[in-house]
Amino acid sequence: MFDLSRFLRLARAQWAEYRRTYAWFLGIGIIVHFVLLLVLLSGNRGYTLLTVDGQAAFYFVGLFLTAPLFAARYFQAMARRESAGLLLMRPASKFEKWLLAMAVVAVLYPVAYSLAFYVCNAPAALYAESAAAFDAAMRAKEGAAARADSMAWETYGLFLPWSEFESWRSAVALALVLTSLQAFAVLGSLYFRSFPAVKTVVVAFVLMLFLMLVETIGGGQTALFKGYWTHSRELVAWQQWFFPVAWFAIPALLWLASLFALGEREVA
Amino acid sequence: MMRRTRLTFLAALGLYVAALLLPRDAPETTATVPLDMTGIDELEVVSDSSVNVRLDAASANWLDYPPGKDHHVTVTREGRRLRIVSDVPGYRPLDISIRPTVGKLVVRDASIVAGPVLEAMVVETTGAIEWRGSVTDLTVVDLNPWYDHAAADPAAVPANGAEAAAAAAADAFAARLDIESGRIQNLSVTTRGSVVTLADPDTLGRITLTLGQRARYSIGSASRIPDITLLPHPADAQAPEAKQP
Repeated sequence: MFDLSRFLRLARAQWAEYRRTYAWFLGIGIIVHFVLLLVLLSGNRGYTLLTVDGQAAFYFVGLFLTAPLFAARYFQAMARRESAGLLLMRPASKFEKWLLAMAVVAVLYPVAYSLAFYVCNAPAALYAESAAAFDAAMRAKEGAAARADSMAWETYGLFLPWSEFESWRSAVALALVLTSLQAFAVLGSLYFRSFPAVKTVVVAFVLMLFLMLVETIGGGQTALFKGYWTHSRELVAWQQWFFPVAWFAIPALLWLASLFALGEREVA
Repeated sequence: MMRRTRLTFLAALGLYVAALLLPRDAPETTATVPLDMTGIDELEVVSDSSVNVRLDAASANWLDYPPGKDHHVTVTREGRRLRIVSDVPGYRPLDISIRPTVGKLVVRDASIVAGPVLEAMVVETTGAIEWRGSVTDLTVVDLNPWYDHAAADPAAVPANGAEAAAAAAADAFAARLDIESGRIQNLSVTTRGSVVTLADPDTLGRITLTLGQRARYSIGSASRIPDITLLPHPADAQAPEAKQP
């Protein structure tokens, strides 16, 4: 089922074949980020959007938009019959292919995204910090009018992802939500044989509507589960074990479903 | 075809829906900690949440707090001081009931109710205080660190942007020191920047307000002119010029 040397050969083959695709994916992300920052900083006080909190918003929005997209493209070869055959006939077990997918999508992509984010963000953050200091000095010269300038309270500097988390619990919640979205995207790309991206988006939209309906029925009580990691509300005994189990089981089941989908595509 | 995949996906979806729909709030409960006040002159509460203190000769000494998986309340003795440290979130208050054997309370935000007539009480605060109850001598000292940012003269031009914003924030976040009710023979309030409210001045004897340049005070409706003395706060260098709102 699992052979380390075979797994490493598969990883090398995957890297040789797809490294340009991955580089393009990150490269396009960097270009979009660069253009966005250019537009922001061309304004008079555009730097005010690049506080540490502003950078955090860019980082996490970018991560949650691109990570499922990257995940959905990992098995893009499965969408075409001829390339799907090649991918499925690679000399590796379905578990090894799935494990590699999970390692690339859930572990390596967030790391690569974080590094790529700083290509544009680091110089922009330094520029914003110096622009804010300059602006504060100019306003101080103008005198008492500076009192109303609440922007002086904003924190400028380089954003670091881990500094934004109040505790390890927030980081766990975010990681589990992100990996669930990635697993769902991988599952969609394997489950649907034709137009997997379109169909996955449609199913995601229908599911979103359905879950909104469920939340409406559940009322405010749904926050107990969703806020398990970040709230400190008191829970009854069964909730204390059920909630963490469910939080971990949902992404685990989604990844497991993608393993089954890969196996069933092989059989088909 | 794809049966196992569908079943596994539906299991994940079912689990999520169940987790959303099944929960019900746990009933509100409070944890009670008895407080040993033997030989204690001073009570200090370090907490983000506000504190309701009841000074009642007929009551036992106890502390009530909302229990939670991440809440911890520790009570320690430091000589003649009892120190309560709590990380209960700010929106859930602590309730403390003690016999009026202590002479000093050190709190941030607190609502204090005194049952019988007390002899003397000193309240040190870094936030807002609401006092209800009769006492011979009441001293309220505001040590809010925000006001250290405030310039000595509010009209002075600040040295730089950050200082100006700090001063503006000190105004914006001025806390309230409210003396709501109760007969108080000697009342002394010291603050650099809070708003002191004397709701019922007819029940107050001698009032001494030591105010910083940014402090304000207001007096409720009175049937006589209150015996009030205004003094400059020693930390503010210039002459006193406390203003009514």
